Amino acid sequence: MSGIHANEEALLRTAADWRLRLRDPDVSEATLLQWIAWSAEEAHLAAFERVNALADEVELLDDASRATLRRAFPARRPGRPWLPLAWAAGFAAAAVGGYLAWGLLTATVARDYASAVAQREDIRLPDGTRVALGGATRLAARFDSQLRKVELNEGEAFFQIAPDDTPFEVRAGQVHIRDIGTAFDVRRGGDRVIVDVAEGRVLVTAPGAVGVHEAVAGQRVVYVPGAGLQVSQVDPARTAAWREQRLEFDNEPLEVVIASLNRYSRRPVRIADAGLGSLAFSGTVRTDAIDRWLEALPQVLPLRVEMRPDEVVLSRREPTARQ
Amino acid sequence: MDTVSPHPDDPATRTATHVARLEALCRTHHRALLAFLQCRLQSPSDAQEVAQEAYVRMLTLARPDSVDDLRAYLFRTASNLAMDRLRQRGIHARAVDEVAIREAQTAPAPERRAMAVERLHGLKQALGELPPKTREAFMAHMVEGLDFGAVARAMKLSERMVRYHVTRALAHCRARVDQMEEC
Repeated sequence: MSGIHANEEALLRTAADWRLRLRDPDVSEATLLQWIAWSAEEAHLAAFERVNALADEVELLDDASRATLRRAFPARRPGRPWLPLAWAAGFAAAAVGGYLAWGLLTATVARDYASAVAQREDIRLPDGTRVALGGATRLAARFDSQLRKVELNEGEAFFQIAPDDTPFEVRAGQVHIRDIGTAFDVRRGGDRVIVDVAEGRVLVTAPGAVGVHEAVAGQRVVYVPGAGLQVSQVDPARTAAWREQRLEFDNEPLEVVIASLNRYSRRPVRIADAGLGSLAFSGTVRTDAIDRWLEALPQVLPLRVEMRPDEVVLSRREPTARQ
Repeated sequence: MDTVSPHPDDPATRTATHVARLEALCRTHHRALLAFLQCRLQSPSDAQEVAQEAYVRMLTLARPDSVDDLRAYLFRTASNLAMDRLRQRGIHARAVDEVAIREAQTAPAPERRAMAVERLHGLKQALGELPPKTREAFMAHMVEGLDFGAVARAMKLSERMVRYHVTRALAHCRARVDQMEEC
């Protein structure tokens, strides 16, 4: 399947990025600790070794082999005669496809995007960045020559950033995520924000957090108002599983789980007793089988589920006296 | 009479615990450390030697308790030793130029090698599949040996973009060379 290949290439790219980073003689302590965490996984380390073996081979090629490659791919001559062509092509693409050329224009590009409940959408931003929108999600893109800025007003989105010299930043409330050549998922429920990095690296800042957090592929950054930023490990292959109709939760409060669910459930789910919201839930919910999951919920959590025609209500289950 | 049972504060006991802990640490990170050093030194024998040297440094640490994170310290130590090794190679190269190696503190750089014909062919094909800029960055940095700054200036890109292109090219070539050799 092509998905396996995409994951494989993503892993190899991360491994190649590690080669470049570790070569820096002034590699920081933080980077070394990230390396230790990342390389602890067998598959990661194996990919790194494979990428390195080829890179070493290429860098240590003898003159004859290098000459072969040079003949096959001669360096372009200075003078850049192709530049006007690139401009023309860029403008043509702008007229037709609406992207590629935004960087050449001085004007600001502003666009809003939204998806309905239980609806998924794949969009392409003016710079070519690909975004998968989860259900009930709203985005606002504001691009200028200094910054490609996207506000995630509500919901969840998976970003595959088009490479460009202009920095790309996603803002989810007060949490700012800046990409360094990446694919990542951002989920927002109120002021609580979760960032999962699938590929490359991001920088995350949030109020109350000390400095800037750098997260690499396979890491999750959680922002909870008042508690700052917390970093943990996730399986990058499972990032944005919602694109395959799975919502995955790892020890998250029920109110957050239900808020996510409500972006996919045709019938809104409501928590009637405030105390229930803080119960922790871990597991997977299929977005095409939400009702089944709700029916089974009383088996794992101490609550009652009432299916009404226009909504689903979760309430506290009184301990039943048993004779 | 003196008590025979070892006291936890006894320096000898402390050292033994320390050694056991460090040995476990080195074992756990051995493969990652070797991969890290190989990436720096491009020579398996040099990587082995430097790893051993780093382990010795760890074991002879005067005050291990004063180190915040022993794992980071191990990699930091290895990183510094690798830098020394690279510097010695520079000295060695100059000494060879002047046809006189007397210094003990020199190390030869890894030798350049021809690539197997089939693999070179696969690499060529993989490079041919890449976008021109990605390939150009790869050729300039990996094949011609220009540093990121020089490639960035030549291609009128930022260093960040050059690194991005080189990373992509490397991953693509690895994946494709494997695919072609499997067939």
